[in-house]
Amino acid sequence: MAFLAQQEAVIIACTCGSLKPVCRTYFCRHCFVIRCGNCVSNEVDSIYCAFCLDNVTCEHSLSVRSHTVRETTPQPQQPPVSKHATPSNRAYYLACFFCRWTSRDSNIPDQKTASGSWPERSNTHSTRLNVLLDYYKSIGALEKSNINIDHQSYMKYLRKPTHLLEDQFGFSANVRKQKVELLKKKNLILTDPHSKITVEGSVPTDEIEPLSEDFITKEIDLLSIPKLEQRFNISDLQPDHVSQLMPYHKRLMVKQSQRCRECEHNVCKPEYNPSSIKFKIQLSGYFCIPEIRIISYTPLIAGQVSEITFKICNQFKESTTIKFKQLPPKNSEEDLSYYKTLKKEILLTDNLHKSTILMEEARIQEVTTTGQLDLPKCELVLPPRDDAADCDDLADNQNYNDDPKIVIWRKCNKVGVRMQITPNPDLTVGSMVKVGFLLNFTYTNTLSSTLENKQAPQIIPVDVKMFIDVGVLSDETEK
Amino acid sequence: MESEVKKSMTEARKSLKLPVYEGLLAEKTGVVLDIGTKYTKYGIFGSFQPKGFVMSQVKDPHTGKVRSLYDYKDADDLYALLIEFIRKIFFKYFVTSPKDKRIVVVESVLTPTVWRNTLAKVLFKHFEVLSLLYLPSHLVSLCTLGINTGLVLDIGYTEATLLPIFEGVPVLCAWKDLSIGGKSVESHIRTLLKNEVESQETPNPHLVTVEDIENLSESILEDIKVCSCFVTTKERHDEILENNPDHKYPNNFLYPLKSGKKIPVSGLLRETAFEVLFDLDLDMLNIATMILDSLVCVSRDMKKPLAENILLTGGTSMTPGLKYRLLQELRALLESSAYKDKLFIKNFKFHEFPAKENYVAWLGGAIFAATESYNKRAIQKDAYLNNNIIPDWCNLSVNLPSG
Repeated sequence: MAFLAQQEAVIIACTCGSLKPVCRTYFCRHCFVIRCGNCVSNEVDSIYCAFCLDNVTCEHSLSVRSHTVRETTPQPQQPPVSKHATPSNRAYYLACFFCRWTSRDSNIPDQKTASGSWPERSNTHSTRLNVLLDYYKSIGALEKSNINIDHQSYMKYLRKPTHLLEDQFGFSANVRKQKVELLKKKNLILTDPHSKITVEGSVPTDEIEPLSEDFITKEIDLLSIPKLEQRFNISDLQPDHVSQLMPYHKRLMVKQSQRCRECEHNVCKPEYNPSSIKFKIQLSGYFCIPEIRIISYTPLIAGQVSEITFKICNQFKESTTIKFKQLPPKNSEEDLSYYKTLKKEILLTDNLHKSTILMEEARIQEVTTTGQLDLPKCELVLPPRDDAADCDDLADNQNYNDDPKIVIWRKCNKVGVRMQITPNPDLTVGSMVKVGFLLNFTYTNTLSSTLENKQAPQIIPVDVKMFIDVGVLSDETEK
Repeated sequence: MESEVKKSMTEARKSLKLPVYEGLLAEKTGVVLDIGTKYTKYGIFGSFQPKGFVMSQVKDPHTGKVRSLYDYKDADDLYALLIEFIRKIFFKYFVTSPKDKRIVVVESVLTPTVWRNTLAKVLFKHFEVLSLLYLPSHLVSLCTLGINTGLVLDIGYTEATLLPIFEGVPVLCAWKDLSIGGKSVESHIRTLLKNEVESQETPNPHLVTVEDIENLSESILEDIKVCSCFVTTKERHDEILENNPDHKYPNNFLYPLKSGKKIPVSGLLRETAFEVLFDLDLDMLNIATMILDSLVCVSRDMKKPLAENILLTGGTSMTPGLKYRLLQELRALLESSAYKDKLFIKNFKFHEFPAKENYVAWLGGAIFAATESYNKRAIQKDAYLNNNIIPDWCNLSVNLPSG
């Protein structure tokens, strides 16, 4: 089922311009537009371990050692632990059942308790780097406090001769105070020996170790040389021998939720529990936008009319009315207004908080259609989705005034529609025939009726650009 | 007995949970990114090692093919790639949302404008970060040493770039750039391997064919490079050039492939793979001449301090023996006719980093970002959204000569 829907034969254009199959889109039921992965904001809901599905609210994670034997065994995910016990003095170490590594190989001291916290390795250069960090932090602080003193006004003060006349005439108390403050600040920053941190710069050397003879005389043992990925896992050591490999933290996974950028409502929100596959909110486009599938078509020949049958299916829980329209000409005003640019500024009622949201421009993916579809002019009404009626073979309500030339069959929320397709005459044999049209369907907003009691549900017409890869052009002579 | 084992296992499982997980960023900190051509280094402000390394490549959202970030066609293409990449970094590796986070991007001063503008657009408009600061990688590398003057040579994957910094000011007139690096070494290894396989008289079914070598993935070449190749000394290199019969090559070995075939890696390849860095190209340039040419360009009083403060950064400079060989080459070139009358330098000195060379620029960025200077210099979200520009020295709207 997922495979059927994910096939990219029928794609729809999102409001932001990207082209996606219907199951990869969302339909925001607050702004009534189609959204896709490119125009929603992602949020991190919960973090979990991918191996044990543990919901990691506490700050820990699993550790593995970056040790694999080249090309032969997979990387151990969770090294099991064995216990090394002596009657009086129990000590524990970690051992991997896959590659027979033990924590003793990496000189990690044994622990007294099995659940004991294994020591975190710290960077070997951390003392020196901490000194450097403090030094640069002090420079940064100095720079920050310098901002407060207006350098120009200070220079102006020095340039003016007034401070030379100070002895003769004296200053008003106010000016004197200002001057003292200014000088104090300046002096404090520039000369105060206590606040100044100095650092000894690194000493360069011209005595460089020559190449070790081992490279020339020793045999290469591939099994003892770690791969680059293994080295990068321990980024500060990057060992060149497997004996120096250390355990490293396992990465955790996230559960993301998607939020519409315009109205900031969730369009997709899974449950927090990592083992749950259910959703709290799921506004996938698949459940709202009528789904179109190709059932069959007569061979496509350039410039000649062929027949094509679509199945249109309403997955929504309310009935919908659909109309077909031709695509607006490219880059026309109508066309560009379809791709609403997402920039919008909202002025809240109190005028105090102005927040700018959604600042991304539309990224329009160009599509060229290579065929003409003769679109039916009539409207089609599709009943709501009803899972029970789907299994009922006898359910048969033909109360729709359908044109039998267009609607060939009807079953529950599905309808078979016949159309005529003319591939462009200049198309070469074997190339894909692509058609496009604007599908207008009505979306019934049940949300407003439940919120503001007893109001009739709002019916909103929504336009979707559909592009369909019908099939390859066949040869006329083959017939 | 069984229950006891079970009990000890559950205890043991508990013990596996090591404390401290830094995936969730605290309020005040932010993320430092160094997006290199091959590997991206990522980590948090003020930490001393990156949280991880990840290949700078991403699945193309349209075609599903894995593409390198630097293979972009135009700004729109780059925009799509960067969105995927930044999303991967934050949601997969940092396990957090980039919204309202502080970001530092360490980049080379030679980064194209389209790259930095697109990255800013992605971060501000798509991910709505709080503030962003671009730091020049050569300059911040000095932060890891506590010095103000240095000649920074960054040998990366696709190119080697050099920029002297004097008293905290980059000497832009003396920058040098050469498109040699890890990539050229790897392609050299491929040619050497091909020659070796071709030269074998009787085809061995256990060994690879020339076609196999041509289709060899870059990761395997990289692995051969990392695990076996080294930079040889100048004396040994001269012996190889003279075809000295007494020269003892390093040991050969067979590199196994997943297909069951094996690649014969000769001692000659191991020793000469990195010679592309030192071979003079058509313009008579190599990484040693880059340093000397740059020293020729700077003014007279800068020459000595710069020559005695050389910093080698970038992943390729971690190769064993490279620093020693570079010093040998520099000394030899100093005696040559080209530089004898121009440079009167007696000695060259190198710095040792309190870190691995491949993340030095990242570390400098992380140290800088932890200071108060970040807030003063960073571009805030509102400022960017109002005028949509990233301040650049060549943009007169932000860089008017002040009166």
